[in-house]
Amino acid sequence: MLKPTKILVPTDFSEHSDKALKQGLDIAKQYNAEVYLLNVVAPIEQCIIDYCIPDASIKGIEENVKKTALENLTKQLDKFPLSKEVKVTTDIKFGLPYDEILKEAERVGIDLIVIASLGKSGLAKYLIGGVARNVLKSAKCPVLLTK
Amino acid sequence: MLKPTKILVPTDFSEHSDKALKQALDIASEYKAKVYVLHVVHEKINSALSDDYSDISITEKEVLKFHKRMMDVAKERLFKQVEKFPKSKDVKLIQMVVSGVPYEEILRQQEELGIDLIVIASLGRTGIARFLIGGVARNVLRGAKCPVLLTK
Repeated sequence: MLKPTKILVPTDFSEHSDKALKQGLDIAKQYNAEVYLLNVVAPIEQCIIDYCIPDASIKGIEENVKKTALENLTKQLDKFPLSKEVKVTTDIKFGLPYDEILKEAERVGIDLIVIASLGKSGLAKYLIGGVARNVLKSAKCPVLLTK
Repeated sequence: MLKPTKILVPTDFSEHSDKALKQALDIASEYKAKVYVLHVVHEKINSALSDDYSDISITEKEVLKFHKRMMDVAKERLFKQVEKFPKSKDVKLIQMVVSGVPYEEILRQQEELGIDLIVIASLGRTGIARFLIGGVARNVLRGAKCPVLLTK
């Protein structure tokens, strides 16, 4: 039975993901559910051929990236007045987008994922992007694909 | 904005599609939306019977008779499937049986009826668990102009 209680919305700050977020918030409002807004950042390559960045710098860079990403999440949320009426949790993860999305879904006990069919790098002709495709395929809970 | 008003649920009478139908009924009663339950009789069944190389010799009249029977049986099965869910009495529900290629008909009905949400099971009758998303669902996800809820 679908009465979503915890809705995961993965975002890459694209317009497409704006749509998914709006939809996620609408559903959350209707069902009194919580929204988890997640952005996944590609991990920073420490070594390129034989040039390596020291651990300490990596930490610093990651901190900065995380800060910017969190700011972007807040900015994206501010676009939607509804986000004030719904409980929203934001999170940043480093890793492979679809992998982190699926892990987060299981960790939090998500019962609905709302994902845009295209993201930042989506070519319109493919119609479903790689991240969405992998999430649709492997998610254990229902997935709402927005267009 | 998603306040679904017309929900399309494709069914092949499998257990998987039972789940999708249940979910759609729940959503429909929450949003007071109309539910269209659609079964597509695969046109291949028709064309196979009337193929030139088919060694079952059969007249066009008989093909039509078969076709009509298949449609009737499908209507009965659809009725029975819907009856399993008491909630179907509480929402506006329309049962439809058409013939054609399943995903094409699903997408066509979506546009023609002005459907704003499709609820589809990730697997149907022929779904092999290891593929995780069946062919019909995959094509619907790809081609639909409206949001699609994929149930698991």
